[in-house]
Amino acid sequence: MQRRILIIALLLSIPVPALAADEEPSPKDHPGYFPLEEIGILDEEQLTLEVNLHAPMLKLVAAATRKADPDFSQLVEGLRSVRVRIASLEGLDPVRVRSDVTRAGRWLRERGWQTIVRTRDGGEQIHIYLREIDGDIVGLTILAVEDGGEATAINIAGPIDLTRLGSLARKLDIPLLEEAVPKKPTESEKEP
Amino acid sequence: MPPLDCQQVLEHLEAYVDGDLDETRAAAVAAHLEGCAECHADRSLAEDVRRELRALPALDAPPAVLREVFRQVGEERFRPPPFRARRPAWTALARSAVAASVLAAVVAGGGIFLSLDRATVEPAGPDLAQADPEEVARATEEARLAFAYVAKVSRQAGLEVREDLGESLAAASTSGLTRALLFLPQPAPARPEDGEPERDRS
Repeated sequence: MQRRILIIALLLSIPVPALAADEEPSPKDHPGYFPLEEIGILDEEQLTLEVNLHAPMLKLVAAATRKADPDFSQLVEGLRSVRVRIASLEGLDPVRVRSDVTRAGRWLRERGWQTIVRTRDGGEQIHIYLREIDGDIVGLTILAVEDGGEATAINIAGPIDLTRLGSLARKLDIPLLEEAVPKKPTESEKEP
Repeated sequence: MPPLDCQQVLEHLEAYVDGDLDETRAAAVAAHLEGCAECHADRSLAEDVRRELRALPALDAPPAVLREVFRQVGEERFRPPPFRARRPAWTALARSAVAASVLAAVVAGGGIFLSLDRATVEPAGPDLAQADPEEVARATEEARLAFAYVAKVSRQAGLEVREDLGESLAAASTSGLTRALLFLPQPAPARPEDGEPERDRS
């Protein structure tokens, strides 16, 4: 009898982890999620920077910045995940790197992502993809490669307010990044 | 109330001296004391002790001592009765397992309930007060860094994500560098690698 009680007890305990996992949906289930780890150019050992933020922490970030920076707070609040991977490409074969980026782009397009920008300037490539559902942007993925330099992979999943994002991008002041960013072309410098 | 014997009076004597007995019981004790010299002597002794105790100076104990005394008094007062029956180990194990399972079932049920509830009710906001401030600050910087990289890359591509980008996407931006770089609205030669056209700035 006692053994039976123990068996029943153990059986009752088994479903608990699965149910607990259901409580918070996996970020990977979101249509705006792109598995950055599937890009071969960004192997773990090559990463120089990695950011992985998911909904619970993003909500806390939004709450913490609500008064001081309401634009940033509102931009972040509804997001499901923000992930950045920066990897050094020194010593890697540029042909292989470009091939990996192409493969990643194909992966995205096959799953309904739209190519918004794709540029090639010498050894530098930048691809920007958006995932749109019912007129709403639910995902942004950026892949940037600089031969011999670094590769950048960014994926933001969740409802993205591009207007707010653009406004925020202009306000961001990170010296290290600003130094690397080319000056914005004036109206006269833009292409006709 | 029936008359009290010496043993009963002795049990109530302290309360009687302190004036804590009800009128009926106090009258019964008093009646016994009038006819019992031995108990009367005990009453006199009790009154003397009480008087001597009250004559003692008040003691100013250090706060730490008082706290410890009150803690121990409180523990004694609220301590649950000790578990006297010693059961075999397997019984305790079985009981623990059953208890854990019942708890797990309750938690699981709660999980299901919460999941169902979440589908229709807006989830509660984050509890910032319970979060680690350093962790939130670090995450905030990481989020800013992420958006800074978005800005950097978009600028490098000649595309600064701007306030009217949403409109630009729909209207296929009609002017400037943005139009030159936006892929969708702009016809471009087919890209040999995967069949998609590409804007080549090289």
